Amino acid sequence: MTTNRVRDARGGEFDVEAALTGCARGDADALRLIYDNMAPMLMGVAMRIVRRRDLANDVLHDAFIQVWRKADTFDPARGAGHAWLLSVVRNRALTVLRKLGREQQLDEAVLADQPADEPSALDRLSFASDAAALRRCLETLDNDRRRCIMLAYADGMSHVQIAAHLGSPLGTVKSWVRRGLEALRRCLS
Amino acid sequence: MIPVDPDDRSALAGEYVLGLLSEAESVAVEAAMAHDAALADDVRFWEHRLAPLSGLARAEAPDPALWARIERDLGLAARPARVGASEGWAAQLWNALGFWRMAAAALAVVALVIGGVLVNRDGGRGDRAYVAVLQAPDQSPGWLVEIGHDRAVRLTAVKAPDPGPGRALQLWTLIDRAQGPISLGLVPPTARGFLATPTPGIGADQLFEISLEPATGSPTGRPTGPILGIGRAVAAR
Repeated sequence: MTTNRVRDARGGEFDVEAALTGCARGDADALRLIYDNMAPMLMGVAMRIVRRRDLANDVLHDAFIQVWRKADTFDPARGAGHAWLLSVVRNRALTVLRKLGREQQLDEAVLADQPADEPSALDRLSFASDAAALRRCLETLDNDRRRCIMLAYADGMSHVQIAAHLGSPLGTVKSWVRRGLEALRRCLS
Repeated sequence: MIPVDPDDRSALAGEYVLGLLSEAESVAVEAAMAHDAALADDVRFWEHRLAPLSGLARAEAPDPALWARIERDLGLAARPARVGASEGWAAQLWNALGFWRMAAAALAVVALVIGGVLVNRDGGRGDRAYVAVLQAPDQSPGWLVEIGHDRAVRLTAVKAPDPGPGRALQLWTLIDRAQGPISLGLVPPTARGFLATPTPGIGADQLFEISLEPATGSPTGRPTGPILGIGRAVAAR
């Protein structure tokens, strides 16, 4: 499994797996290092899901608390420290969203800015080598299936919201997601 | 509740990672992962392989006070200001500029042509970026400011003073002389690639400065304290 070296702000390499191992050992400098290098990106991910800056700050705060406390559950041998961090932040953001009553959060005005399902969205993928493989496989999906997956992941949309956004029946959207995931898995494996 | 069929289990794990399950279903998946290794593997697979989609989200500056809040709530001792003093300032500048060159190159590489049409979203979104070196009163370099083509402002401390108790560093830019300085927010003294508030505009020779203000920022909306660093933007190649 490839580990992704995240470039730090000064152009050096930031070893996120080593930093997480440091956190597990109780090294507070390691948590600070993760924050310095990744907080803005993670804040952006949270903002895109919860749509409110105050909530996103709370999500980031709660996520870093959890990163510190659960760092010992991350297995550095498996690599993908950035993905682990992302999942902590995303899960927290989604929990907050659900507590608020997700259906209230849909804001078309906010969505209109760089929607996740427009054709050029794939241009903006990062994380280097993993992005190329994902983009290649996403391009092989039917448009509808790809859009559902991207709207769910990037914007935190529910099945119901995706159905409303695409103007398609709920059952159809559920099927698109499932078929899309199956095809994506086959391609990525 | 957790399917035995591998395809169904993989799809459930995918839906969990996509955030499409209900709260109850998500909790059930998390509980099951503790003893179902195959499910845990499926979840990790999707978390890892979908992670690049996070690149769709624009980076945002967290509240400048957020780190202190995290530190306090975890009972960690306050971290001393990190300045990377072991490297010469020239090397630090190169590294910082190198990061932007790499980012611009990476964006160029991933530019995609779908259906034969290259979509240029922001019109004029080329790979131009600006940098400004903010010099301290003694002419030594204090901060590097990097401005992206999307007007994101990234700050790195080369040699930053400790603002002292009850004080903070505030970043400003001047676009319209008549309008006066515009605050780009408070910046931590340990800034390393710190994202300030995006600038409303950017152009060659645009002025950036850092002033010393009360801990909550200037009460007047203009710099009130001494200017600790000042510089002008130049286009980065």
